[in-house]
Amino acid sequence: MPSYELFLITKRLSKVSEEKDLVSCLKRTGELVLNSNGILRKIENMGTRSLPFRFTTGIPGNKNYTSGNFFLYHCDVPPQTIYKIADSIKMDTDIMRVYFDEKKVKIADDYVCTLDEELKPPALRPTIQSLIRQNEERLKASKKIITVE
Amino acid sequence: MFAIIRAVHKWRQLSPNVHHAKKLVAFESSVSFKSDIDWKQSEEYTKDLPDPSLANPYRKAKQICILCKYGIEVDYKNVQLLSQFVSPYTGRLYDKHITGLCETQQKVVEREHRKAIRYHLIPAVYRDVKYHKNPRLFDPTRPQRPNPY
Repeated sequence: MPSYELFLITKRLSKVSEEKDLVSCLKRTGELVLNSNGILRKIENMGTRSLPFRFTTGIPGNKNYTSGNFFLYHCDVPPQTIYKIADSIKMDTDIMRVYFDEKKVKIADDYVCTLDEELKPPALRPTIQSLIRQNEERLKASKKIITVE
Repeated sequence: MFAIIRAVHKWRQLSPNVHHAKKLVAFESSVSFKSDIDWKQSEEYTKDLPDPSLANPYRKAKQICILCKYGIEVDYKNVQLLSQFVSPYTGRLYDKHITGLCETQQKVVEREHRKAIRYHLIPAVYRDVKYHKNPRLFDPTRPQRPNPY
């Protein structure tokens, strides 16, 4: 199963022991992941942040929110169930935004920086030299006279 | 016609003193073909030859982009890092010729920046004021080519 990062933005819910809104909200999402044959590796709290611009949830009657609690769930889930989990989380009134991000290798370990080659004058750049070679091969191929034997 | 030419040719062959080029007698007597080979194989000559195995001591260091050099992993959650490549006025990423990144790293930064905007972590139209005093990685005021915006 591929690894994902479940990104949540919740409203600023109360942590008061009587209400425990925040805890119950987080529990619900965790249960959703586990019920769909998923592995929950880590729950990360990214803190209470002010949003870069105000927005409302899709639910009518909600006000413009300017700050929220950001959470990150590191989980392994079968790829087909992402959409189901996201749909059920969107129905939750306490959660404002949901995003799934697949964990991928961005740059390979054996990558060597190519800045030196990119800064060369165009005639010496490997990318352009390969283009020139391609063009030469194309011209050669077009000049060949195809005979039917 | 041809008989005359043949006759002149024969006369030239038979009278060497008149028609051959004057030899540089001093040069030819001192450096003959055979002694040239002996000199080049001698130890006196070979010990002063340059050593091809030594690297050029004046060679320039290969230029590497700053992210590759320090092995920095770019992430959409690392808003401070992304803000260093962003214009303080428009909040947009600078191009590769200004940031000084190699092509693959520039693409990664662009992708993560767009993700961070979508996930409401970084503002899209300005650079967050708290990152204004971060160290500058490049000078965007004197670009080699004009910005696209």
